[in-house]
Amino acid sequence: MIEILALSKHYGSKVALDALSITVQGGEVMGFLGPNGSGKTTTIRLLMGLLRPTSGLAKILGKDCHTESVALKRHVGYLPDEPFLYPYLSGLEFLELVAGLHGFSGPDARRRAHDLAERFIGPEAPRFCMTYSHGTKKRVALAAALIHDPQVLILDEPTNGLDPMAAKQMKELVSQLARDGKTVFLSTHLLETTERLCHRVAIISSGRLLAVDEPANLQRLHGTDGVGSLEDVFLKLLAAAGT
Amino acid sequence: MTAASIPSLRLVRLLVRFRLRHTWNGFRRGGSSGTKWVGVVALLLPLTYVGLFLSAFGVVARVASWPVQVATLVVVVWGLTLASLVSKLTGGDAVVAGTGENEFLMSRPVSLANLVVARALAASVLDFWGALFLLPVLAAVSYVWRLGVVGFAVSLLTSVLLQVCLVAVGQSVGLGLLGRVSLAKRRVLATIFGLLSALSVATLWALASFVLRRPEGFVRAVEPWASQIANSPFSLFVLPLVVLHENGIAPCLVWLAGLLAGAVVFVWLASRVAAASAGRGWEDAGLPFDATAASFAQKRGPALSIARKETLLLVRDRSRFVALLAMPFLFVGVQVFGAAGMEVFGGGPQRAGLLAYSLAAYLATLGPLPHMQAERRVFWVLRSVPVSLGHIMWGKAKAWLLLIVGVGVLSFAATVAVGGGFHLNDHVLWRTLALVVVGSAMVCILAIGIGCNAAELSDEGRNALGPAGVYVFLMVAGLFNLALLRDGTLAWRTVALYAATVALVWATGIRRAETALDPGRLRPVTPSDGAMATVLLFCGVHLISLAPAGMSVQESQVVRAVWAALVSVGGLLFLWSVRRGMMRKGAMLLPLLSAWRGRGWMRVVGVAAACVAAGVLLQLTVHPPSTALVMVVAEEVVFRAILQRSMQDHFHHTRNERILAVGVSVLVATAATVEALSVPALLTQVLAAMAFAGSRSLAPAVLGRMSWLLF
Repeated sequence: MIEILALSKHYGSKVALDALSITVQGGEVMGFLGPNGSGKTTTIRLLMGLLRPTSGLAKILGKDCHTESVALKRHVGYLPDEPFLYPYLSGLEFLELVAGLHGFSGPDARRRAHDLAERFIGPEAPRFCMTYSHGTKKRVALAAALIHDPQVLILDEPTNGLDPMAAKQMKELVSQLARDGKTVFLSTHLLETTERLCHRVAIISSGRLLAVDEPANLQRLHGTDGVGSLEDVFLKLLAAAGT
Repeated sequence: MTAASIPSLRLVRLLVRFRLRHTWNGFRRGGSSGTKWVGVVALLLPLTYVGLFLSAFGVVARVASWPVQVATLVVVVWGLTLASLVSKLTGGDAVVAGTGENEFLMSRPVSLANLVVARALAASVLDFWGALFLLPVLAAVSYVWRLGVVGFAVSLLTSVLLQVCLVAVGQSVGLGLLGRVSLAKRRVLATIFGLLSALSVATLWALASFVLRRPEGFVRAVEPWASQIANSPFSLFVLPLVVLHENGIAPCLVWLAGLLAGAVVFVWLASRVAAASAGRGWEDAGLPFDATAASFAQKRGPALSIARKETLLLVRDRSRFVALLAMPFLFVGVQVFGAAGMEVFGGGPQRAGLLAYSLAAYLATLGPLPHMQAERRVFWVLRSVPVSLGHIMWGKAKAWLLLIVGVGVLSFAATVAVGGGFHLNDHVLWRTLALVVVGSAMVCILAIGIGCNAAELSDEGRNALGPAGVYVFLMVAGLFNLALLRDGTLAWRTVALYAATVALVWATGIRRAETALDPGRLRPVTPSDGAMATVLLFCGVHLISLAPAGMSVQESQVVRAVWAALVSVGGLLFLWSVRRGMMRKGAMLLPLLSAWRGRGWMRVVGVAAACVAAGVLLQLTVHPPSTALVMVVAEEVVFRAILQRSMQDHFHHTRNERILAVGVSVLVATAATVEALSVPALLTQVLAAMAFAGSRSLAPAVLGRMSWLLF
């Protein structure tokens, strides 16, 4: 479903991503773990065709993320780390706009926007986005990512900056999406979230892949005497990589 | 790839619909009352331009032959077109890939090519003033040439079609250049774009002021090349109107169709350039510059002080630093070489002082005035250190003082040296230099004070400094011109008033900055408001005294009385609205409008009261003594009800503070009053201030001063 093959991205002399290779199967929730500045957001931007790779290839649903980025966005939903919302549009209007951008006609766009607004935003939907809390903004952006019922979801730090209640709601939403059979590529640095939600976990640091496997296997292979939390494994791998 | 994207026309419809809704929502529900009024003024401004160009082209049509008229129009239209093109080139939405909106749009099934096309077409509706940038000129010409409604429609279509062409060309060139400039050099490119934009706007300014102020001179300048200009390809944009005048509607429609075809070709080309740019480096445009080049502090100096931190930030951001220094010189320089000609150089030290102070004021507008906007994300750090806010802001002021005063002094010295004919023992030279130093230093402190006063940092979606703040700054900064241009008592009174205003704005600003992060902060009447009202009254009175040649003394008295009455009513309305908490809600006059809509009998009473007041005012103002009485009311509203009351409320903790409050308000009032400086005048102000301090009522002060005048 998602194939990343020897993908690299350089900013001048700085290597942001170094020959990263990961494959995500259909219906799988892949956790993408790494410390700040490890290249998670760069990878996601490359997958969304928002950046040009220096070398390597990324494909989603068999389509090249760089050369066929427009076509694949019909099947991919994207939740950015810091979502952009028009401050003086209401959440409902914003979702109508996004539905329109995905090619839905007026009544269909309105119906989809209304359904998702009811589910994700609730009574705040008619208020301007500028009045929303950080958690509500993230929920609006997630609703926008789902408006075209995509097969693949790319979520960049969905729980970042949320209070425990909002973070719990967000995690439940992601669980529900996984149960619905969506393929989810979930970037985070919250280990507990990854442990609970993800079928497999990829750990990167300084743009390089350190490990990719199921959480239980990672704990068995890299934990002390085959046991230990994912946090221990993560820190051990980072220490081994010298970061 | 493009086939998967939603069609351009559909994208245009979506962009137009939601952008208009967004703008309307913002205007209706957000923004301060100041921003709204600026918006209303911006809507009315083009009408003024139509009037001005109408008058200028009326002169051109009277004094010039037909080919010269056409050539004049071609030059003006090309000036406008080039400025518009450069601004589109440098400020095009499509050029920077990494903006929030572009990332939002590009993570949907929208291709860059379709987005560029959609933006070019949508600009004809969304960029309203951009689309009508030629309309004031062409509409004025079509009126002068008596082309009627058809002429107006042709002007409108020409302007809109040109706008589409310019947006398309601007985006194509921007995208094309980005593909050929390495990441590391994009900062240089951004700086060049910024300077080009400033230069084109400044050139346009000079050109427009030349045409509007001296149309005969402009015609004389164009005349030698008139036939070449009129027959050049540059005349293409004015041909529909020219052909309509000479040959009628049918040939005009052919030329308009040609313009339409040109617009289609340019839009198509833009889409091709965008398609080629997508995937060839455009995606990296907008990356933070520090991601493209390693940046390290080169060496360690002494421990970082607040002032040094400000200087380092300024110097390390090279593009901002260059733009900051270059833009004021560009603006003023082009003006000098434009309508004003070389008069400034030949005008002696006073003219040179005016130029140097203008540069310093421009620099302050671009640099320290918007400081809270630049620091909005780190302002909490400044607030969390165990140092007073006043100390932090003074550190900031010290860093900027060096640059602004330095630019003021250097440009004064350079202008005087270039102009020649000066003597080192000329006392006017040294007096003007001293004034330039004082004025430049104070304008820097004023900018930081007003930036602190206006700062609203609680809402990320709103600028820390709105247009109202900028205009207030320009008004107060403009006051110092009187000190530079006038001699004697008026100059020193102006300096005193300016210094007091700066001090009051600073003191109030520091206190206001403490609540800049609080969305529910109250809007009290502040000493800064008092100082602004005083400056407004003072400038109005002195501008009237300078004004229109040919106005009789009696007419001048009437205008002065009307001005005083307006200031009185405005001041009272301001006090009332602040007391009712309306300023905080950002809609000072809306409650008045709703009250107006409320009850029928209130409207009748209101109209009757306004008629009576106007009649009484006109009757009163015919007699100069009555004008003085109206002026006393205005002065008391400003000096006592706004200034002194706010000072007493602001400084009320100790006895010394209370004495200081009354003392400063007396000094400001003495500097700003229309009465001549004298001991009795000072005594009157002291007595009025004491009467107000004791009673907190305007009546004793107003009646006392009126009695003094009458008896």
